[in-house]
Amino acid sequence: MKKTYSILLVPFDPVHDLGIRMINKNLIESGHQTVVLPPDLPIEEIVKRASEKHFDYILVSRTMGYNVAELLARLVDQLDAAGIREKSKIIIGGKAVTSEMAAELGFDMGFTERCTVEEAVAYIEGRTFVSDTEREKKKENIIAKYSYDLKNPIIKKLLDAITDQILCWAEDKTSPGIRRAELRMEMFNHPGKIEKLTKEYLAFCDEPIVNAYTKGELISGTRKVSDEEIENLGKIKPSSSTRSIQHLPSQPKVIIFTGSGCPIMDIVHNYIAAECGIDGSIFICPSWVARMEGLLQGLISHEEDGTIPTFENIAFVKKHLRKGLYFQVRAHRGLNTVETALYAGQIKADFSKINPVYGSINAGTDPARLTIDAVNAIKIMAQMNVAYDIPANDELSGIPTFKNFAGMLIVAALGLKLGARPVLKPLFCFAPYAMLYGQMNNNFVDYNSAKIFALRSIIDAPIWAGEPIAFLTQTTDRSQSATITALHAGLAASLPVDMITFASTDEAYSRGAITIASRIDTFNSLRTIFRFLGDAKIVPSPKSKIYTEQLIDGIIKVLTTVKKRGSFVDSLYEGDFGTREEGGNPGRAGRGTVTKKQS
Amino acid sequence: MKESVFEKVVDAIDIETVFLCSTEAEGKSLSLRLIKELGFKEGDIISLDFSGTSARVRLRGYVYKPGDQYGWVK
Repeated sequence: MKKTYSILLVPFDPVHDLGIRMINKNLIESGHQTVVLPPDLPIEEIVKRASEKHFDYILVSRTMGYNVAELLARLVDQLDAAGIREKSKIIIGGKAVTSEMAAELGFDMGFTERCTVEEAVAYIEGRTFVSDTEREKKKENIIAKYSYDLKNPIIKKLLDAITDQILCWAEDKTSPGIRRAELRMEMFNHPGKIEKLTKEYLAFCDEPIVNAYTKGELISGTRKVSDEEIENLGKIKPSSSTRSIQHLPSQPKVIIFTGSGCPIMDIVHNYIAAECGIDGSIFICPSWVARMEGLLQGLISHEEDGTIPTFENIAFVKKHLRKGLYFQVRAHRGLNTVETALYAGQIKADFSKINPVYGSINAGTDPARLTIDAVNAIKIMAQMNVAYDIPANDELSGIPTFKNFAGMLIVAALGLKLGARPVLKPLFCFAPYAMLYGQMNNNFVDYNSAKIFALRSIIDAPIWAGEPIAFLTQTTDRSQSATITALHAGLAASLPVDMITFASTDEAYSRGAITIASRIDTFNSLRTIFRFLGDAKIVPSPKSKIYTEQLIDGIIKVLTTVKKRGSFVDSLYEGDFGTREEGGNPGRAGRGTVTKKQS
Repeated sequence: MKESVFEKVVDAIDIETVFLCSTEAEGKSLSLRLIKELGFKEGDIISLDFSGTSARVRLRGYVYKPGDQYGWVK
């Protein structure tokens, strides 16, 4: 039979007694006997009441901070003088309490304002308290609940035709990026042949990469991570505690970017971010990696933005990521797309990232090259069971949203045909297209909502808003940045979407590395908005319905144009997914490197 | 030898304050002086919001940038 206790509860404030009343309710429900004193009793009266019968515990609560140490010291002294200290355990808790103060004053236990009612009751009952926050996160399969049914028959038919055309075009083609990935796969499967295979690999690489392998020449701005640093990193022991950012399980999973340039800094940021409640982390690489044939090797640190995607760096960061968190490796836009996708599969990442439309018309890679590489990367992801998201980042250059979405849907449909698991990634941003044409002049709710409504009407698929949410709405003011990010998160939770990528309050600061303190700002702001909303929702105005219809109409027009042209690659070159005036610029990196496969 | 407290900073120290100043330029100048007088070799003004009589600022002194030899892994 459970042991019950007799407890005296003392609100040691003129007015505040809510904490005591909440604990009292819990104690009574747990079967204990309680006596609750009124607030604002003089110390002598408290001591008198404590002497009237035996209490196993005396719980003292104090909210107001002024004179608190002096008052509590007097209370403890008088309880001591009355012999109560020998018979009862005396606990102090509340906003004004610190654990150091409680220990100095001789209380048996001190609970700070962070302590929950459940924790206090567990202490009284002699139980080890395990909060929800200390339980290991379980990774939910966010894709499992979606059928990928294409609900709009016109769009379905168009996507079918376009993706058939892409696969037919791709069937007999290869590229240096594909060949490097094939060689890398052989290296993984036959470690004894690494030297021979590396020689072949380097034949498909640019000179700086070759020199790094053969002469040990470091690319400017990089350095090797030392064995000492690795060993000393091992002495930093992250805790297992966490605070949930979501208030309800139905609220979106929350993901951050890491890519400081240094895998060690990334790891420490991930440690702290995990303790603050993030659900996952995206490994971001420098932009120059996209323009260079070949990937470096080893644990390498980098003083610029983006951590170099060597296999060792990616594996190292993933190894130190808390269990139960999602991990994504970005592969979407350059000459190393296939190999990076392979790395993602090899380390069992949860997601990679592919968008040949964005990568070729906004990120500098040749359309034909990125298309063939994307097809192969998606095949790898299907084989290795890594889902991938499709970031519609081309929206950021001013290209109309419906064009970005047409591209995103094609890449999703392509993935489905190849047996992969795509995740749609519309941007929750102040889209330049909307800046030009006014869809966001009144609010940031309607147009972002319309994006989700449009996508949901077209396909039953997971949606992960990014990248990050609130992009281009933040300023360098911490408070504004945290608030606007939180509001976008609140909108995401209202629609809802499955996941969101969110940034720090450094998002608008471009002259230096993102700090952990600025990340914590937005962890707290998201926690706040999720708590504020619960099941309540941010609701768009009727304008959002008009925008939704416009988006769907626009998507159909673009897909019709692409199908009519008969060549997805030509559509990229010719501006079907975004003209030059709109901000679409077919890239040059890798141009002329797509060749016919040798039979 | 006792380690410096700076060796425990993960990356940077941000300072938030408000300066009384009559122009934005003066606010900037005060910010940069504060960074220097606090002993940071490298710092930046992250944000500055001038109201007319004051500048609300967030200043940053990087202790460790990515790629540095961090004191916390020495």
